Amino acid sequence: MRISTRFYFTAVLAVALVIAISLELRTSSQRFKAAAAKREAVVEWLQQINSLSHLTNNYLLQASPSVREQWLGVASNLTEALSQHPFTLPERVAVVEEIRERVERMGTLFSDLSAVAEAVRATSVPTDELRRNKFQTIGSFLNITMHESTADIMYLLDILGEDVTLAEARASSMVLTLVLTAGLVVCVVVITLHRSLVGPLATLQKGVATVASGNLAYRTGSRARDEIGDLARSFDGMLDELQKRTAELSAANAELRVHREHLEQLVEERTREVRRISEHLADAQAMARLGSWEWDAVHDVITGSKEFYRLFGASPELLANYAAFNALLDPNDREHVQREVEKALTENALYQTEYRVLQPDGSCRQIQARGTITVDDLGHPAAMTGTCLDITELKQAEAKLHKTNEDLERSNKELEQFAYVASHDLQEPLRMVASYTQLLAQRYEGQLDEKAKKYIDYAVDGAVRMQRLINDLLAYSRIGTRGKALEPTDTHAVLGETLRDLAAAIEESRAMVTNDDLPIVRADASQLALVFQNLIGNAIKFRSQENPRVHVAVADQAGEWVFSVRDNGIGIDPKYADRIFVIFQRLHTREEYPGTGIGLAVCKRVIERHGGRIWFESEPGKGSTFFFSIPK
Amino acid sequence: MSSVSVSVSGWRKKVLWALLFTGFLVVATMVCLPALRQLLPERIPSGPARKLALGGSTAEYNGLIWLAEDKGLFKQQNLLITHTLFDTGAPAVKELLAGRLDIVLASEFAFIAQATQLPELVVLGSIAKVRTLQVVALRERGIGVPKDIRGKRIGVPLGTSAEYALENFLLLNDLPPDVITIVPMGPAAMEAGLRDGKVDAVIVWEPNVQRLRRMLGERLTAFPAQKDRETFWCLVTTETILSRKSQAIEGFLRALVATEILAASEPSALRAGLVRNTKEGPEFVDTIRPLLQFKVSLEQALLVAIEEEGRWMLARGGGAPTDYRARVRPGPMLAVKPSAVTIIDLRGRR
Repeated sequence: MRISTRFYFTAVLAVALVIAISLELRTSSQRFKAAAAKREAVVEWLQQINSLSHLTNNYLLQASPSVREQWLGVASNLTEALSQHPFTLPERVAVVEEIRERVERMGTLFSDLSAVAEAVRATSVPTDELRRNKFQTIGSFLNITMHESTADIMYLLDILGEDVTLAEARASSMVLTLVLTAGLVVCVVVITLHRSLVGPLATLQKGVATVASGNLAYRTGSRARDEIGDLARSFDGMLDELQKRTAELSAANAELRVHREHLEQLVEERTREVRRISEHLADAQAMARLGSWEWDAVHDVITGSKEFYRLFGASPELLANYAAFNALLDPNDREHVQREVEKALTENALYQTEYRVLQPDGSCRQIQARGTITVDDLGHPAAMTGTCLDITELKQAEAKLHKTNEDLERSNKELEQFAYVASHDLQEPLRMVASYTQLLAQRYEGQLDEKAKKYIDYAVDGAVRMQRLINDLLAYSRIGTRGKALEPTDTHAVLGETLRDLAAAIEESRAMVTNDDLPIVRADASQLALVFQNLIGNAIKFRSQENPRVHVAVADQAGEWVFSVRDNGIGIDPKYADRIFVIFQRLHTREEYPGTGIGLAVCKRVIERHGGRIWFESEPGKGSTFFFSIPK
Repeated sequence: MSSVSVSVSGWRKKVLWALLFTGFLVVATMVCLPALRQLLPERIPSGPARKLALGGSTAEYNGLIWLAEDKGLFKQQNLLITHTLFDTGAPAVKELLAGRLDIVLASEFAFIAQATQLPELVVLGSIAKVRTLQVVALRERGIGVPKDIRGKRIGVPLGTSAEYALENFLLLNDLPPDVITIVPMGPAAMEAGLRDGKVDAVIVWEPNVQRLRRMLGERLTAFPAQKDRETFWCLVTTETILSRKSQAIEGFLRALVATEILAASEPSALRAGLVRNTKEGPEFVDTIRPLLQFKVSLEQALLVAIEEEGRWMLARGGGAPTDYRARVRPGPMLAVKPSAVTIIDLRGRR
């Protein structure tokens, strides 16, 4: 039972007991009052009987009329009192009736007695013995009757006394019973409360002390269903949770310790790494001549790496703010640097500029600076961090390279011009050699022996080959010098024109040339046709036993078109990848496959002029695929 | 350390609570013990039953004795009562003196008549008061009112209360004792005496009055002979028996006191006993019931009556001067029912 319920029942029981005791005491009090009133009335009767007894004795001695009147008055009062008796129980009423009858008899006897006395007084003669005896006998009867009445009244008093005693006993027993019940209830309540409160609280106290000493394994083990039981179970539950949490915490601490040690190890390693990287960075910065810096735009404080200060040829104290930085710049660069800084700050843009820094030795160092803006919580620029790269040597190299390029371009032009001129100018003497050799052969036909004819044929053949080489070389040189401007070109049309030029070879070799839909690209149509012609021509020329199958395809890739020409020819060993695009380089003898060895070199030169690349994929015996790209 | 202090403290508290609870019970019991005694039934004496031989008659004054026997109240007192019947008190007293009886039920007159000669006799109290003595007269002899008995022959059982009552009857009716002729006659002979004309009237007690009425019917008239003076039926024993069987006698009185209370609450039971034992029928019982008072007492009135009758007896030349107060033994009655002792110098004693 819960303690609150127990308290409730105890309170109800206590109130009930108090009410019962109060009612019993009230009832007993009323009963006592009633008994006292009855007793008082009966005592009054007894006193009146005693008075009658005294008066009777007086009358027997003196026969006084006044005493007679007194006797009659007392008897009347007693009779009236008896008629108004307070008793209700039949046996008590019967006793009262007996007393009343005796009093009546006493009245009769007294009347007889007084009659005898009056008769004696009236006769004025000596009283005879008969009357004297009668007087005494009546007096004796009267006396005995009064004693009997007294006994009856005493009996009534005794009954009343017993009533009072019984009432007292009943009240006492009832009060005792109620008090004992109350005491028992108090004891039971105290014992149960002791059991349910003090004992469990002591257990809890012990538990708290035990737990406080660090022993979390303690449990009250309470099974009580009251509030203390709930508290004890909550306490046990709390200890369970606490023990569990403590175990988890210990495990977590152990894990945390491991992690911390690991972290410390990592930090140590990272610190070493950072230190090493910092050193490397410093070395790298030194080697790269790259310094890092930060400018606190709010407080106008500049800090930087060691290389930064070295690049500026200034100490950190000297290069502490923007004004100091500005003072170190070449006066011609200050304005545009200031403009770039303001632009970066206002537009939150990338800071990127180049400027010259005056060195203490009077020299000038070329710096390329980059930086980014850091903003505060309100979005206002707060700082700028960035790098300074010493590009003095780069600038010098660039200038030198520019000059070299210019020289090279001029040399190339001169060389191309030379090749063109040489090729063109060599055409004439070569034609003369060939013409006159053929003329010699015609004029002296029959005069020359076979050997001479053979020699002349060799000379003519060499001149012809020489002429072909020169033409090819001329064509090759014209790619760079006589090329047309790049313009949108329908590659499908270009391929079609190429195939018409190759129609004889295609028909002769029974080749089958197919193609995808080809796009329009920016190209020199004639040069692009030259590429298709060389690649398809090679595919037919270097065919296998099978009939040649050539397929021209194109792929749209990021920023460029990638064309491919795939065949089923003899294939190429990949180890010759570097050779086949070199001019006049051949993988086969002229007897095996005719040609000058300039076709793929032309292709490479054309594609490079268009800004693209050319390569191939092949395996010997499994055909080849040549790729080239044209930028979009 | 804390757990040890808790357990010691708990042990001390338990002992303290046990002592307090025990003390409370003891005090409560002591306070309420008297009341409890009142409520508890009287302890029945243990051991073998105590024998008490009673001498009496079938007269109506034995009502309490019969009711006590009917209700087993003597057995409750562990008493074995034997009841021997006698016609009058004198032979019963002889048996008492012979040691064959322990208590005799006799009128105070019978006690006085024996006590003057037998100093061993003592009186313990009375259990009934009766007023059944009547003067029964033949109308045909000219007796219509009490004074008409002048010059008549009156049958009287001499040596009994009837003789004393007849003299008082004459006196209260202003008749000298010598105006009548007393014919000694026992109750059994009265009917014949009246019928044969030996006497004109008789003075006798119940149930003889009713028997005479039944036999002689309307020929008879009756006058109360003790209208103002009752006969006490006393418990008479000897000094020796009292000292030897005081506990049994107290138990006997205790049973009679309980019977008195029972008779007040169960009058029908008392009446049934009277009807059964008197063998006179219910009408007789109902007729005489107002003349009977069943009361266990030792009254001043008894003492006065004894002394009065003793003086009368002495004046007639019977007996010897006797200190009747000294023959009263109030001890058993005081032990059983103190309030029933109204002898003036013994009131309030226990």
